[in-house]
Amino acid sequence: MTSIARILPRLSPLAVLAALAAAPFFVGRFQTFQLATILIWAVAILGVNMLTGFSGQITLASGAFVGIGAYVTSVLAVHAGVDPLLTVLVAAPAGFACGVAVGVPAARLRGIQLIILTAVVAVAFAPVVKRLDALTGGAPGLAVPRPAAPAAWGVSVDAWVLWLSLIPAAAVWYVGAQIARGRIGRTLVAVKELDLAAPALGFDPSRYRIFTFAISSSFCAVAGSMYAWSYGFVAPDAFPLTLSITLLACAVIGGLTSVWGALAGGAVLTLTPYFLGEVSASLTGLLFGAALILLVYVMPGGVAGVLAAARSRLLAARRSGRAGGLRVRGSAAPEGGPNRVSTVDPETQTGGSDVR
Amino acid sequence: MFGNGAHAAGGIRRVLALALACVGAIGLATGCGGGVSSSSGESSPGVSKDAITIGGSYTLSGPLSVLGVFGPASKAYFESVNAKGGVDGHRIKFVYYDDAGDPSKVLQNTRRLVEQDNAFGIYSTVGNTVSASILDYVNQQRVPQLLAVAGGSEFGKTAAHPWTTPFYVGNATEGAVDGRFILSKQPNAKIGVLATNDDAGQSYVRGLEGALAGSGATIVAKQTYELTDATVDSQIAKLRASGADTVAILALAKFSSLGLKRIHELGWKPTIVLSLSASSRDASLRPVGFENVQGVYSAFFAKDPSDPQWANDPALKRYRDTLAQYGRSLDPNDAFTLLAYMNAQVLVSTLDESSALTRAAVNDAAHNLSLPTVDGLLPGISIKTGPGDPWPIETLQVVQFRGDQWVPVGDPVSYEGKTPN
Repeated sequence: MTSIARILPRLSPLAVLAALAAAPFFVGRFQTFQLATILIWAVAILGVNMLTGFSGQITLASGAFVGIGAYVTSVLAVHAGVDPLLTVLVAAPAGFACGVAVGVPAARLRGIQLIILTAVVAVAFAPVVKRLDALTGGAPGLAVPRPAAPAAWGVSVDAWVLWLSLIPAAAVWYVGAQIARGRIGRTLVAVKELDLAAPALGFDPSRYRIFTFAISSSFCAVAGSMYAWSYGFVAPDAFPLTLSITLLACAVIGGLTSVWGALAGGAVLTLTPYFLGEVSASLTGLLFGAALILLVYVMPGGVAGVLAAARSRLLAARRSGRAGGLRVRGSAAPEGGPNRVSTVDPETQTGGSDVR
Repeated sequence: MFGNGAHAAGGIRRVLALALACVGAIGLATGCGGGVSSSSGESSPGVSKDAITIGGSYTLSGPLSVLGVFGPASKAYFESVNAKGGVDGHRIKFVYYDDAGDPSKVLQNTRRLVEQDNAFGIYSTVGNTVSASILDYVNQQRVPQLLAVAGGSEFGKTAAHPWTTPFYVGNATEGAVDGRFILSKQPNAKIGVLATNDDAGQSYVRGLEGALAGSGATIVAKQTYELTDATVDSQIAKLRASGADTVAILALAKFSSLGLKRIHELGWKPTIVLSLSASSRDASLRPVGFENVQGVYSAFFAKDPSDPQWANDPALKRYRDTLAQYGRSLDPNDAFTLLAYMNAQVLVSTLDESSALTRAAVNDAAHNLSLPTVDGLLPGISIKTGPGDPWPIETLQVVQFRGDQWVPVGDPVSYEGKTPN
């Protein structure tokens, strides 16, 4: 049990990849498209996590960086005839470069000033894109060819796009997990927690802040490329300030320092309005806002926090249940049931760290 | 739904449960399968023995939620039609979702309506950007995008978008009518334009320029605004500094209010021409004060329901009665409510006139409409489309604001079949 519990987490990313890759065989075209949409926002939210969760900076520019990635892909595909798939190789460094540009001034700012700076980026995005209309198509937007499988394969565009989207998503996940678990992640948390002391320990906090900003923006830009593949259409108004705010809220709901929480956040962002649309079209916006507030309230640690807590509780209960079974062999059940025991297993505490 | 994770012990099961919960949750609404194959369906999906499903996406929340009224107002009219037996024995089942004015949500909603709710067609997307976001999708899927409320030139290009029809006057026609009218008043006018920074604004300016070509009048300044702008003070200041003696405004109600207010505050007295979207008596003019907007011009195709001169108009009485019965929460004095009501009437007429309830036949009918009267249209204006000319309204009545109402000036100006590109 112990060794399996240690090995399985390493397999879980592959399991998720396999489940997503297999999904188009079991669900319809629209659901396939929705899964690709979840992936898009999960990648963007992972970018927000890097910045807000690990480095403690709050950004309202994430939506604009998604837009930058989407436009890099669209402009290259439409005007230069580049295969939309390859454009992600340009979008990611472009996002990184823009992230550095915003990150340099942002590294000097804290709290409300940082929020204002990034909000300015978000608000300026649409007008700037509209002014560059020769390139961007202006306000009406730009139609982008969606990547398609060879016709003979008989694969729908939606399934194809989902499969292709898994590649950058997996790459971003790998980078994110490496940063989160490795030296950089620990340093970032140290910089976050020990802002003033960090220089004394030999870190230059602003260098780390700029780096995180750039990585975060780069992730968002990759999400933007994926957006262009899935939607086949970009418009300046598709990346408003409210998108950044929603991404931040969903990052909190997923769990700010969890790479898996980002996936949960993407699912919340995509599926909550979908189900609320069934409840009432006219109240969708209002209910979505209320749902976000409620989720933050009931799950301050996010979905990842809830899952981690549930897991430790379950493991503790199972262990004590097993021990109880040995002690009172032959009796129907230990008195009070397994939930009575509330001791926390030291193993689960250490095991819980992979959720982070 | 994430509670499933509580039953999983290992990392793999926890994460799998999450992934499967996502897949399962969105798989709930329809049957499974079909995501991989790329085949397409029959020619009249959404039509059953006794019902036809029409889909819509509206900005029911967000900064442009004043336009959201198109959803419920259309629904009110469809319900009144259903109460009388529907279209050819088919009840209209109208399904719509909120898009908050976000083009990506519009596309998402449209796909949901077409692929999941099995909608026959997408009716009345409101606004140029929103309507443009689904142009490619509906035309690739051969789903009729019926009567989009958009006046940008893009929506007149039948060859490029054979499955899309607009329900509005072309913004270029508006520009042309305004230009011709300005010339008749001031042959050497110096015109300053304040317009939206989109297809609508650009089409309007092109129409205006076309009408002025070869005359002594010129456009001396063009200013645009963004929805995020708090005021249009700087734009108005620049128009004034350009030496303009005439101001043309194509803007949403709030921004035309802001512009008119600023012009009044500056003590500037240019000739003012407002686009249709900028000229609502209650939403645009009242906030400025009627006494401060005397003599302002506009060009209409619809009656202004807030105008007392139509208080006893039989067509508007039918409109008010329908709302009283089926849409009590709606404001009958809102010009957008009336426009939605007209839009819905034209959809029902299109379905009625269609030779069969198939997508191709209805699209064909939308491209060959001839409706002499629709409740809400001004006298002398009718609905007419033809092959290569999808604009249903190409005649405008110039009006001037006098006292507390819009008064007709001269006869309706017709650009029938001549909407500029």
